Amino acid sequence: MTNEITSRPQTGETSTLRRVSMPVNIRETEDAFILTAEIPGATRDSVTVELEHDELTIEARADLSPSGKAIITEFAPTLYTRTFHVGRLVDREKIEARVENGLLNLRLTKTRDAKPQRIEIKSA
Amino acid sequence: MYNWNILDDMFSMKNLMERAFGELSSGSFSGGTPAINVYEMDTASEIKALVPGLTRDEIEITFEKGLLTIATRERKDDQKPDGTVIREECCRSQFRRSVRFAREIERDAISASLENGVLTVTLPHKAESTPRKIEVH
Repeated sequence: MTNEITSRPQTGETSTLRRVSMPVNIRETEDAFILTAEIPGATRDSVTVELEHDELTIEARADLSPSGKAIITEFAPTLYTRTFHVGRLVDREKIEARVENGLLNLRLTKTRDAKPQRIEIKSA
Repeated sequence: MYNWNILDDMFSMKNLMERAFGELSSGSFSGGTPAINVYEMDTASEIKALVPGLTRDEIEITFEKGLLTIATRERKDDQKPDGTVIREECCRSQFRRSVRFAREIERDAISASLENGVLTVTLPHKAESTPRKIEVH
């Protein structure tokens, strides 16, 4: 695990949002990584996906503003954020993102280096 | 094939602090039960629940004797996703959660909507507070 500090400058706006590391599922297929993140309340427009150097950062904002006098409060306006180390495994030109029913689905196509390589054994 | 843990999190100090104080488990429903907020307005009460990944057909809402219950329906056509699992922290768990409302609710007027993984159920109050004139015969 890399313990590098990855926080970026905070704007005044985000200070009212609770920062949450949202849960994710990641699967690996032969040619891609498929990532699913829970971002309930976040709209499509608020989602950013950034690949910089070896890091993939996903962020989404859910306003979730109160409708009246609060009786029970278990969630608040939230900034979902999480950063992953992807090394050189992901092709930066081929990242597909889709937001549906409060889930962010990312398809990260692998670079050639990340795909298994079969080496033929030459006959003597 | 890889000499380090693939797709490892890069933890900032803030994230580590949040984890230490249990921030990770709140704000979503991966723990099994959806997080809810309940509000009361003059004419209605409202419950919001975080249900990411669920469609309207997968949610069942019932109201009986002041008790509102939100639950997942049995899913039949769940297809197995392809590939090898690298991380499994979520999504779409089965749950049932009930909330009791003290106010009298107009049960036939309860409505629900689902947007961006947030379920909103609106429960209009009975118009008991409306002044009523009683004639003396």
